[in-house]
Amino acid sequence: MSDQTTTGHHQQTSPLDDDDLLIEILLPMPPQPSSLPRVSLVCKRWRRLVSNDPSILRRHRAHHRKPPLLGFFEHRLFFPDHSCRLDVDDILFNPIPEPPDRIPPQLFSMERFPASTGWATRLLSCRHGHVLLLDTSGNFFVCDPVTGGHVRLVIPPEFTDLFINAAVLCAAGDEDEGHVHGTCHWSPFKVVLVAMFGNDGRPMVCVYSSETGLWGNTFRHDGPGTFRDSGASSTLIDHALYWEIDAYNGGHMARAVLGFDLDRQTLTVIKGPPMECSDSSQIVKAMDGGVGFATLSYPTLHLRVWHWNVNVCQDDVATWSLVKTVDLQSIFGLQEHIQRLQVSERRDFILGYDEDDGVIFINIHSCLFMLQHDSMQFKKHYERTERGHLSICYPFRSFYPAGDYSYLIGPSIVGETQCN
Amino acid sequence: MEVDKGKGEAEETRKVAEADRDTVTLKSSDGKLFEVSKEAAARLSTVLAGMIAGGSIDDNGTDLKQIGSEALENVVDYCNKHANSIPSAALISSSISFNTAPFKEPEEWERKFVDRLSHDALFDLVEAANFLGMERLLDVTCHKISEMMKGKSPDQIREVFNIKNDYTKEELEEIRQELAWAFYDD
Repeated sequence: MSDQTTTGHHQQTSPLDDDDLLIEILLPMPPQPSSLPRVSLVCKRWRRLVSNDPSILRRHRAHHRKPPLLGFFEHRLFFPDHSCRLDVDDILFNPIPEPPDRIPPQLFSMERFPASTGWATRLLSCRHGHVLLLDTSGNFFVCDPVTGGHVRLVIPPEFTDLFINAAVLCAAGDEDEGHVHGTCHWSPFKVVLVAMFGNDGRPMVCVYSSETGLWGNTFRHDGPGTFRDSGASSTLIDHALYWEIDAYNGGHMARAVLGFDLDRQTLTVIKGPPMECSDSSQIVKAMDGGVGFATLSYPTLHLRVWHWNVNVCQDDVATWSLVKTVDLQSIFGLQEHIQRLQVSERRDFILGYDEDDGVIFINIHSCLFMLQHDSMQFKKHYERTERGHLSICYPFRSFYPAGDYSYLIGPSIVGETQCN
Repeated sequence: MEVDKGKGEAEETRKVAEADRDTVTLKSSDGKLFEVSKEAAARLSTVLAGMIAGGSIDDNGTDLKQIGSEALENVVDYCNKHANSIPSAALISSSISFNTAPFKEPEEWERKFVDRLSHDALFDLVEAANFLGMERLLDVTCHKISEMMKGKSPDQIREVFNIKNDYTKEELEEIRQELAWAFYDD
């Protein structure tokens, strides 16, 4: 019973003594990884509730719905002896939160996966707790860094000789009742494979479903134009995935946006907003939930945010409204720092995008900034000195069930899938 | 509803003339009477809704023996404030299953309402809300207690809530080592 002293004329009890009420009190504890481990050290009964009961962990996640941003994966390019082979160590997890919510990178190391070193050539996508890699044999490798679950996917033959790009996502939609992204470990997932067809440079897409274990039909864009993949990461907006691609027209190149609607299974290509070829760019989620586009000009460091006027779109010709131009030098307080540098020393790029919070990862010289494109709130993540190469940041969001999480590993994500 | 009927004791002399009153009278464990809007009580408390529908409401004061007068006053105060502040449908989601319903952050007035409560009053209100099946009030009060734990070390939580540590030093050390990253700053 309670340790509380008796006051007044009725027996004072504490809701903390009642398991059901204690659970109600612990559910609002923040979704950050250290929250529940820390309360589990209060006493043994608390630990029993938060560590050993999967249903309480599930309720904790359902309560918060949005998983925390734990960090990002990046592909550090390193060429030993000038060879083109990359080591598996090069795909690294980079934690973002401060302690005690900072997950040590080694816990999400790619080395724990059974393949030997030298097997991953490209990091392609990171979403809903899954990481998608391309291995040296030219096949996909989907893994769940939290549980260690993984599967190898054989790429359909018509894509094998092409430069491919791909996105991974949970098969459940945001509105699916009972599903919370960030707990997708045992849930079915999809891989959306995109490439430009060799003969005419037309985009084509094929979707793998882990529910069926099969690749579906290939969808081809039937509009005019020749395109090339830019290798950029995908952005998921509503029920569609978007990639930046390059459009060629009579020797002239322009940035375009390739969209694949997952529900209707339709491909669209729209012309991007005006930009210089030295600009860095990123597809973002507009404030109204539509498609937006951010460009970072070099060397002036002006960030422009555009929104696609979807209602005015005709024949794949989009109109874009410039909604914002901001001077990042003044926002980040970098004027003096930048003036001291030669332009040739500068390295200013958009490196990634967290679609859940609308945060753009921007590298300016040696600093990585995280900027929310609606509020313009920003955080300097770190200043780095040791690296020569800039790599794309793939934000990783997940609930992190510290302790025993073997029950999370579903049978669907361990194994090997052959192409049908 | 300008008159705050939840404050203080209801008048002893009040006579009930009509059967279809729009308020119900609740009696705390220590015999104090409180009047609350029937509509708000039925909407916010599954237990009171059941009693109203089942006709087990006593016009001279429905006995709630498990709830002291301070907690019951807060319950009634919450019901009245809720009736005045919130468009009714906003927080009622009976069709969504409890386990998956997304939590709605407390409104500003709900925060103020729980912030002014003492530690004991807050705990009593959690139990009263639980007893009366007041899901939203339970959420808001539990959220407040949870906020009091946020950012605190296990030692600090034990101290604030007067909880006995039943771990041995060795057991604590073992768990800490297992999850060293989560206890970086303690």
